[in-house]
Amino acid sequence: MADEKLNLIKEELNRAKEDLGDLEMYIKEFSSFLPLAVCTVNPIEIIININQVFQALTGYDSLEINGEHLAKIFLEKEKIKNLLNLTRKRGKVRTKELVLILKDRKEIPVNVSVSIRKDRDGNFIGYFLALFDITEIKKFREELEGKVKIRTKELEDSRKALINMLEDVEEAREKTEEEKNKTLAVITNLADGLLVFDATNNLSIVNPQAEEFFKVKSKDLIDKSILELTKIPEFSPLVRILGKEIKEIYRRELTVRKDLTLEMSTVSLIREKEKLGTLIILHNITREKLVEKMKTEFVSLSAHQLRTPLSSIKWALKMLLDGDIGKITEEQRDFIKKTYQSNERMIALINDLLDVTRIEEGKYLYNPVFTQIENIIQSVINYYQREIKRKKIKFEFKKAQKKFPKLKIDVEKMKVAIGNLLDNAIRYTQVGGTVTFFLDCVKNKVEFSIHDTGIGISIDQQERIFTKFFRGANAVQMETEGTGLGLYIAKNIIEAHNGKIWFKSNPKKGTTFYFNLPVEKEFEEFLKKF
Amino acid sequence: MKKIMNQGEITKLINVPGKVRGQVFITDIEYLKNKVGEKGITLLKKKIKEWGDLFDYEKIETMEWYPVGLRVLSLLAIKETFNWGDKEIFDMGNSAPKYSFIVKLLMKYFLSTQKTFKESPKYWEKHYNVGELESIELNEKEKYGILRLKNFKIHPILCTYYRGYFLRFAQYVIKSDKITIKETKCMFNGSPYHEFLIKWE
Repeated sequence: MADEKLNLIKEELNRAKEDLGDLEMYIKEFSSFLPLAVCTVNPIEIIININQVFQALTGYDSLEINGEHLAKIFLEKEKIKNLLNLTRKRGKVRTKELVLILKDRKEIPVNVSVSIRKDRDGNFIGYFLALFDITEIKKFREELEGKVKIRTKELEDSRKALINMLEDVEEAREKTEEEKNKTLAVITNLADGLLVFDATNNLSIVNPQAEEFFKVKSKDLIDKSILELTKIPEFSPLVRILGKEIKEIYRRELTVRKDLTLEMSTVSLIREKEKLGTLIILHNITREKLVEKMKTEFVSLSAHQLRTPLSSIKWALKMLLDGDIGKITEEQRDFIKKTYQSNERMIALINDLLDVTRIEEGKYLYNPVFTQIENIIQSVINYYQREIKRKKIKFEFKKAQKKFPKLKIDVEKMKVAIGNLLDNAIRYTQVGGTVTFFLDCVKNKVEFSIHDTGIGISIDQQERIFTKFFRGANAVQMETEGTGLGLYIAKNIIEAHNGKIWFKSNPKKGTTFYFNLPVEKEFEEFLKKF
Repeated sequence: MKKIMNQGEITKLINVPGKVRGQVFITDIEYLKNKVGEKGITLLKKKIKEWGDLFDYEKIETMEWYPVGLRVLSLLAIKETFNWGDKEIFDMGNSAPKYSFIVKLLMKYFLSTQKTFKESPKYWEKHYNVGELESIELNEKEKYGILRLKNFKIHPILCTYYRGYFLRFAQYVIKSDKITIKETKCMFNGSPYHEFLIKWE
């Protein structure tokens, strides 16, 4: 019985030994398999066991490291101590980063996880430590952080640059807005009417003054093309002048209605050679026109009123000079003759004034007929022959050797125009000088020029030469007599015939006046009647 | 290689009464792997074979009991093969707990100086079925402790080995770099038991 019991105990013991052997084997296998560096530490922080991965990681074998204080393998001694204390409190602490000192003194970052060990009775008997090498992770993280830092800096720089650009753009926008507001304020408050057409000739801006002029509302007109505007009656006169291409116009009168006359000019809006549109400026000249009309009417009335007594004086003097009233002495004749000549000049002045008023009133109507221009010129030259001879002027009429077409002209008015030009040439050329009359026909225009070797026109006075009552300083000095209306009348007559007049002058050397007249075909004129 | 053993002595040791756990042989091999490598182990195995094919390290089982004389012969074979002196045997003893599976299992006793000294007899019992280990005195204030090993007179090499071994016990539980051990009494010097004085600073 005792033997049986002993045998049972022996068998049990053998089984226990086998189980323990298996357990040892299992622990060894498990320890070698475990990919994590693990060490066992006793309560006073002495390393008592390590696995193979720990050995591979640290370079220490069991012989070298077992029995050593745990703090030996960590750089931050205090930190590992605190970590173990924390583990005692919490039971386990996961992944705290510490620096591990390897056998070769190299330092590497590791994540340390710690767990406490307990015996069967729950008594604390030490720690398990697991170490994970995070060198690569940290390196990668640092590289990543570096890249992020660089990228962040780049982004920050870009952001700053962008902000600067945005600020610049905002500043520019504000300036532009301010300029735009100013421009709008100017446009809105301008006493002149403004119309702005875009590059495609669509109306884009109508200011309040223009609305007032045409009695229209801006909203009804915006984006309308110039052709569409023709359908709006108020705009018809304007569009007629502008044409569908909106041509360049300078100070053209536009009668919108009886009580409104505008002076219209166009300005091309060009930026960097690109046409952005056209600005139409409408200046109200109604008042000026009225004042001018009143002035003209006054001058006309005065001239008419003066002409009648002057005519009476003329005939009375003529009768005295002719001896119709009785004999007069030579001395008396001389006085009366001078008075007669002065009266003649007065009559001429009055006639000029009347011409001017007629021109300005638009009543200077002419009666054009087809006429051979050479005959007109010759008759004017004939009229001045006596004066030419008196001043011993070398005069020449140079006519191109061709047949000249008939021009549709008002003969009397044209004689006045040519006469005024020839009169000036003779009058302001010294005795013995030269005056040449050229006549040519080029394409569909007859071209005239009267060249003299006279006193010329000083440069600073040239641009005023066609204005009313203007006489050059040297002209006044040379000839006290003169109304200053001759060139003004001549210009108006030529332009009334759709001609053009201009001049070139060198002070003290002479002047050449040019003008041309269009050739209208008699047949076409004939057709117009039907 | 200096011969320290003859066949008579070997036979005498094999017949010494008492048994020891296979763990001690495994600890020897683990230590030698680090110290002398596989080549050294081959030489040791050759020596064991020369001495009469006493045992095969590969077939030793941790928890199995083997004649205590073989424990001594293993150490003597190591000493002779590698021409080691006391210093090396001492170091080997000092390192043995680092490899011992049984020691790892017994780590629950190595919690404090007091506990370690108190539980030291259990350690002995787990390894040997002859001799007794006793904790005679522990004075933590004066920083010393005394361990006594009784009825264990097998071979003086074990005195050297256990000086190292017991020192490791102290090193596991005392936080000091200066821990010393001295065999103050030895049965081979006529004392009735072995006594080891452990001191620290």
